[in-house]
Amino acid sequence: MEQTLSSEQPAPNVSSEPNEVVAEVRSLSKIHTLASGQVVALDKATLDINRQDFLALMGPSGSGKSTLLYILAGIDRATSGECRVLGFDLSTMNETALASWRNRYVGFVFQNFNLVPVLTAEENVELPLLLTKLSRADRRKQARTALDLVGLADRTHHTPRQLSGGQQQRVAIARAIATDPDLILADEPTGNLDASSAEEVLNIFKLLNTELGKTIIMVTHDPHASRSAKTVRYLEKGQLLAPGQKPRDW
Amino acid sequence: MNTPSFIVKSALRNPRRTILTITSIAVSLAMIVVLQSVLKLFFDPTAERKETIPRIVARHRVSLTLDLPITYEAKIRTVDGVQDLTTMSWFGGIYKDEKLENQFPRFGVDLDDFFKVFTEFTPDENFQQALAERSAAVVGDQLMKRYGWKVGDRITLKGDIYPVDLELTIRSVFSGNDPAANADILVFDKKYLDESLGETQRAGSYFIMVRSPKEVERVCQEIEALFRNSDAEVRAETEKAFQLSFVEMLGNIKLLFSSLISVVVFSILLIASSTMAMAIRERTREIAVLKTLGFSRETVTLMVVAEGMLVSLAGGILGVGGAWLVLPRPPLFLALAAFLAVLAAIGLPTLLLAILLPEDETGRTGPNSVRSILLKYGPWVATVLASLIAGMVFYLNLNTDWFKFSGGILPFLNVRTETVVFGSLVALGIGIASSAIPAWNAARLRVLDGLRTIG
Repeated sequence: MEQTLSSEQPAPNVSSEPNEVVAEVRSLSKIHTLASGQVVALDKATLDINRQDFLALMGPSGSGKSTLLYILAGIDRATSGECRVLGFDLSTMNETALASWRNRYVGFVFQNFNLVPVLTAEENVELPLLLTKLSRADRRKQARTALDLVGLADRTHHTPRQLSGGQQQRVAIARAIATDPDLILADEPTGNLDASSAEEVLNIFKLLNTELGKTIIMVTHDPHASRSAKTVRYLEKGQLLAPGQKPRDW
Repeated sequence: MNTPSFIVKSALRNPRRTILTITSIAVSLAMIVVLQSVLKLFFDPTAERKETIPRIVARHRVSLTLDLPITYEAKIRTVDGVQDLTTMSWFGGIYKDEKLENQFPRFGVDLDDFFKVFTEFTPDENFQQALAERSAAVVGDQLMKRYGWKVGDRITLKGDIYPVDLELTIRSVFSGNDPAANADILVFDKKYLDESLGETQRAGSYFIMVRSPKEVERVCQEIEALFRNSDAEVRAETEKAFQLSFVEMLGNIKLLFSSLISVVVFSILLIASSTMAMAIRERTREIAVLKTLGFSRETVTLMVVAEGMLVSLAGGILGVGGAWLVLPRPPLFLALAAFLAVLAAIGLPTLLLAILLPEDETGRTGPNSVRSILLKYGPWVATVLASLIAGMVFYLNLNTDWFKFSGGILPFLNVRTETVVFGSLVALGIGIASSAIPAWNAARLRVLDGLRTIG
């Protein structure tokens, strides 16, 4: 089950200097062609994201923040522009290479957790590790370490149904960090949580960022959540606003 | 967890649906195996053995139901290449009642010559005694076992074709020289039938042993030529051709059975396809999540196909096993049964124990908990033990009488290895075919589309 990256995309020599740029976005556009016409989801966005940054992407619905996040994750493709993440030019990689790249370098956290219901917390965290060379024992060890990190060491054999929303999201974060990725992407991670659970999740993100040096890009509507980030950038109608600039209604 | 266990858990997420699908496949495959065994019985009767025995059958050219004059025997013996021959007259008759379980082949034969022609059978030491007694019956050991008969038992065959009841006494038992020789018939001296009726009967047919396989065709031609333009012309043919012509009297059985098998396969394919499509469609979002985590489209495809094959093969094993329960068991099946029985005997209590263990560090949750050790070593121990016992059963079945089985609801049928292979391939094919489209859809699924799916 082990996968390797495409030979055309050798693993770059990534340093771990804090000011090193891990994601370079240049004039990135995404245009959806519908029967009724064209919809510009992202309009020539340009952005550099540094290693160990904790960036919050904010903006109203339809502003293009999730589109940008999915392009950065290699899940969606840009119509034009450049997107290099961790040294990889995502636009030149095929689906298989992108999947392998995500497994190795990226952890993804969804708004609605998206855990596999028939697996226990530990097994859910082990899922991305199935694609690695790790032995069964090492996979289990790594999964337990990740669960321990998010404070769920005592919930390893619980299925998602037996966990609260906040606990499920913490399992999802453990799953995202199980492969020890450089980059963690989160799409509205606190959107389905109560204030207390949201706070716990944000604290974990802050811990991952400050203690473990993970680069985090988080899409959120929640101003409270954005306060956990080191950097906040706003989008409006597909355009990435200049640093410090907010949409008119915000 | 590993990938296979993830696939098993995925397949069992809706246990009721999965069990129903497995059952449907099992029942259909059992039916396929039975139909295929009947087809094999009619159209390929122990071909591998009989091909090597140069035996031919001379019968009435017009119909199987017409007899040949008894005087033909002497003339046939004059043909160069004819080594031995015996008359074979189907007596029919009723043993106890007309139920299927009381049906078995009964022939009036030239007892002196029968075992010179049917060389795959060997009579026991009482055979000379049987020759001396007109009403003696000589019975195959499989038939003896099926009815629990003993030497000296009396059997009454109530005449239906012939207007006479035969009182027979079992005097000798014969057995097959190889596993493919089915010693499941009863023979008696045809002269006893003649005497009971008060007149010499014609011969149903002549079974002839030819000197060598190379001479079979020439001997057939010469025998036919010998009686050409007579009142009772003869058709001489190989034993296999003879059995085929017998079956053809029933109509186009082969087409009927083949059609039935095709219909069953097609129906079960539709059921399995529908189930797989439903199972995968319900997990659209989950597949998108797997792809987000790094599962490639190739891996996802393989996982979906593996899931389909798992369900289908589970049905296949149950189906072929079910068919085997009602048909006599060749050694391979017995070994397989032993393997599954040992696996179940160890596996089920182990699983039960793993479920019932207390949820604490030593019971279930710890890395060195009883559950962890059971699940780690249990499958290996069970597989090794089951393999050893299956091998032993296989060996004993081939070399001793311990497990030789003759009986069941359809005792005249054998599930042959090729039928098992056929059933397994059908199961495998259903698994692949039923999961092909869902796997294709899963592979093509765009992550974003999958993530937007509700449910």
